[in-house]
Formats: sequence, C-alpha cells, structure tokens
Amino acid sequence: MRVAWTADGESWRLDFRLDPEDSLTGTVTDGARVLLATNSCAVRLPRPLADVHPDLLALAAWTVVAPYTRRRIAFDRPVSPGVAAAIELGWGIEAGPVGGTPRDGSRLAVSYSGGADSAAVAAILRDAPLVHFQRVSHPRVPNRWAHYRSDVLARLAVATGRELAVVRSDLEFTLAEPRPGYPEHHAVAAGAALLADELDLGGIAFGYEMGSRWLGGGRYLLRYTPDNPMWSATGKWGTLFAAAGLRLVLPVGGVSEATTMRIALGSELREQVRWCLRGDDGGACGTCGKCLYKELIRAAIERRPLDTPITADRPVAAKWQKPPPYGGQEMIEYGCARVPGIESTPFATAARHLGATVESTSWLDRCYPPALEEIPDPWRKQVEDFMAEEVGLMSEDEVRRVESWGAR
Amino acid sequence: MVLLWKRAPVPARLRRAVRAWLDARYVTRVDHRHDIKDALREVQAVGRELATLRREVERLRTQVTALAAEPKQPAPPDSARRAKWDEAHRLATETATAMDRLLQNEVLLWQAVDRIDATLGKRVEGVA
Ligand SMILES: [Zn+2]
Repeated sequence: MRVAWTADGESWRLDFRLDPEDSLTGTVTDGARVLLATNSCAVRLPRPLADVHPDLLALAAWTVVAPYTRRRIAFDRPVSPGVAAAIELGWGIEAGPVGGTPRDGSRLAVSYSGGADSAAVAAILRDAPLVHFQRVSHPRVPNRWAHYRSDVLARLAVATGRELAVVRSDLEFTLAEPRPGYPEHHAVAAGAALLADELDLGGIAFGYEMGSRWLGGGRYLLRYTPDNPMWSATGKWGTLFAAAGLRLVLPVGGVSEATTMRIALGSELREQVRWCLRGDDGGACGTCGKCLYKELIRAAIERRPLDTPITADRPVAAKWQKPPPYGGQEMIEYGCARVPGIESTPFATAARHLGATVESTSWLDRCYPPALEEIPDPWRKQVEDFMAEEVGLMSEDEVRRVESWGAR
Repeated sequence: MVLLWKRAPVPARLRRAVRAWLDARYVTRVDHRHDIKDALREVQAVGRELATLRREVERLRTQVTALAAEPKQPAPPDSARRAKWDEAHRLATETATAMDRLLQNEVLLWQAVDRIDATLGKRVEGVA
C-alpha cells in the first residue's frame, strides 16, 4: 500500500494505491471483513494548517488503509522510527520510509460523538477540547445512507458551548461493505490526529466503556478481553497512537453504559446528548435499534417502565426474540433486571433467558479499577478522583465478575 | 418646576392639591394618547396582514389560472405511476451499484498500472 496526502486549504486529501499483494477485501482489527469502495477520501479541518507532522499523517492514513494492507506500507513522508516499529510489531507490516523525529503534546482532547459515552467523558474532563467527526458525502460514492443525520449531531456538538473542532470527512465511504463506516474504529480520530500539533494534543480520549474495552464489545461475545487489540493501552493501536505522541485514553473504560448514561444525563451536556443517528433537530427517532437499546438502559437507571413504540414483531427488535448470547449482553441483563414490566416489552424473551437480577448485575454500577491504571499519568488522577467520588470502585468480588465474564 | 418649588416654598397642602390636579389631567391625556397610538398600531398591523393576504390570494389565483390554462391531461392511473417510480428506483439502484463497481475497478486498474510500471522500471534498471 502507498499513501499520499495533499493539502488544499483546510482540506487534506488522502489517496492510496494497492500494492500487487493487496486486495479490495480486508480484515479489521476486530475481525470484521470489509470491502474497499474507493481509494481516496478527504478530511476537512476547521482551518488550514501550515503543515502536519508526518507521524500524524501516517497515523490518520493507517486508520483508513490498515485492513487492506498485506505486506508493506509506504508513506509519502518519512515517519519516526517509533511509528514504523509500532506498525511492524503490531501488524507485521513493513512501514517506511523511516527518518522523522517523534512528536509529543501536552493536552488531552475528547473524541466527541455526542452519544452518552463520549458525553460522559466530556463531563469528566471538564476543560478538555472536543473534536467531533462529522460524516459528509463522498464526491464519488453514491450515498445510500442519507437518513444518517450527521448535521444534527454536529449542531448538538456546537450547542455544548465547549471548545470544539468539527472535522468533516467522507472517509467512511471508502468502505463498500458491510456499509459505509469507519474502516478501523480509530478512523474517527483521523481529524483529531491531523489537528494534534495545532491543539498541542498528547492524548485523545474516547468514549469506549467497559463493555467495549473489557467485555469484548459487540463483536467478541461474552469474553473478558484484557488484551483488546483495539483499545488496550498496550495493544497494537494503543502502541501506535503513543508512538505518534497521541496516547489513547479511555476515561470511562472501567464503567458500564448504565454509568456513562447516568453521568451524561446528570451533566450540563444533558440537553445535547444524542445516541440516535436518525433523529432530526426535534430529538431522537425513537424507532431505531439503537434507540430501543438505549431506552432499555435509560429506563433501567430511572427505574421506570420502558417507553417505546417498538413492538416485539418489529425487525429492530428481532435479535431480542432469539436466545442469548447477545452483543453488549451485560447491559441487556442490567436492563432486564431493573425495568418494571419487562415481560410485556420487546425484551421479554431475552429477560426470560437471562434470568438476571439486580444483585447479579450490581457490579455494572461501579468502576473496574484496572481501567484506571491504564490511563496515562498526566490524566489519571482527574479520572480516578471522579470515579471515586461519583461512581465508586468495584469490590474484589465484582472485579471477578468482570474477569470471569463469559466463563460461567 | 422642581427648581421653582425650591425657590418659593408653597404650603404642603396646596402643593398636594395642585399636583393631584396636574397629575389627573396629565395622566388622563397621556393615557388617552397611548390608547390612540395603540389603536393606530393595531390598525396598521391588520392593514399589513391584509396586504400580505391579498398578495397571497393574488399568487394563488394566478397559479390556478395557469394550471387551468394547461392542456388537460387525465391523471395517470396509480399503477402506471407506481411502475414509473419502481423503474426510477431500479435505475437509481443499478446505477449506484454500477458506480461502485466502476470505482473498485479503477482501484484495481491503478494497481495493475503500478505493477507494469514497477516491472518496466526494473527492466530499465537492468538495461542501464
Ligand atoms: Zn433512533
């Protein structure tokens, strides 16, 4: 794979070419199979930059092309030995040319989507700048996903009143299958990477919570994943980000989605929290699968009946009519154990299969301490203090619940 | 008036009486003036609304006239219209799919071109 960046005003265009051994099909770090749609994309920053450090350009490019690269990656500018080594060690891919000097920064920015998880991160890191990735159409790829209201999410990000950089990009349209989306999950930070020197960033905080970080996320079902290659600080992505002077930080990596929702809805960002990608300025759509899932969690933390027009026979509720395992099962257990009248909701079947109780799911209300140890030094204390005061740490028994997840 | 009172003190009772009389006249007249002004404003607002409505009626009337002037065509039966929509949808979907393939072929084409380039490059190096 060969990549080249071209700056045109505030827009940075990435072109890439396949080597003979590369192909249109690829595998993402999480194991998902993807198919390439086209070999260019652009990242539009809020303002033009004189230049961007080659390591940051390489990092951003790698989040887009990594799945399709088989043997080697040639960047258009020499990268520091650390970045080249991180790619070679992490992926077994030869990276070069090598020759640059490394970079570093001191601030931590939040990769802010506007969902409950990243809003919780923004609430914890009260003074951190937010970087919001806004999907825009690709000039060459037909957009079949116009219902995705990225404009609404960007407006909500602005409405937070926080220091904010909105980065507009069509990089998701380089993916033909399964659908447009981040080639690697980390591509959401492509814009933050390009802005890192401009904002003096030494780290980027993501809203990945305990389920994504330690419980296998949506794709690895029911498995404790301390060595999560996407999000562990010492995994291949964690190492690469660190080599580019941009440490990967998960402030809510130790708490469940119930806790991130509680933090987000209890914060001053409450009015701007939006996990639904379809709703307009009037609010979430209430009818998509994500709205249903999040409503379960919200009803659970508010200890009230489920408020949804979705019935069990709707396609978005289909997966809950089958027996477990489910992706994000810990939260389904949490919700089913707490929502009154669950037996007359689309989760009735799931609830019957899971048989969860408040007691069996109470560990999801506290913070898993190893997640705090993973946070780099300059920012750990702030998160530790918040978790100690606002959430509480898990007992040894509860820690065992995390570490034996899926082994029951 | 304040100055005048300061210079030539007037008995408090008389002062109160005069002020009450003045206030009564003054307040009434001002209120009256306000009422008239408010009423006038209302009339003007209604006038403006009427003008807007009249313009809107005019616009609709010309539209109706224009529509009436158009050659009369029987409304296509629902099934025909649906067939047309289906056809447009089919075409859009197929075009988009074809576009996808085109873009992918372009990527592969560049890959082939680069491979030939590399081979030629090696051959040239070998000759030189
Ligand atoms: Zn929704």
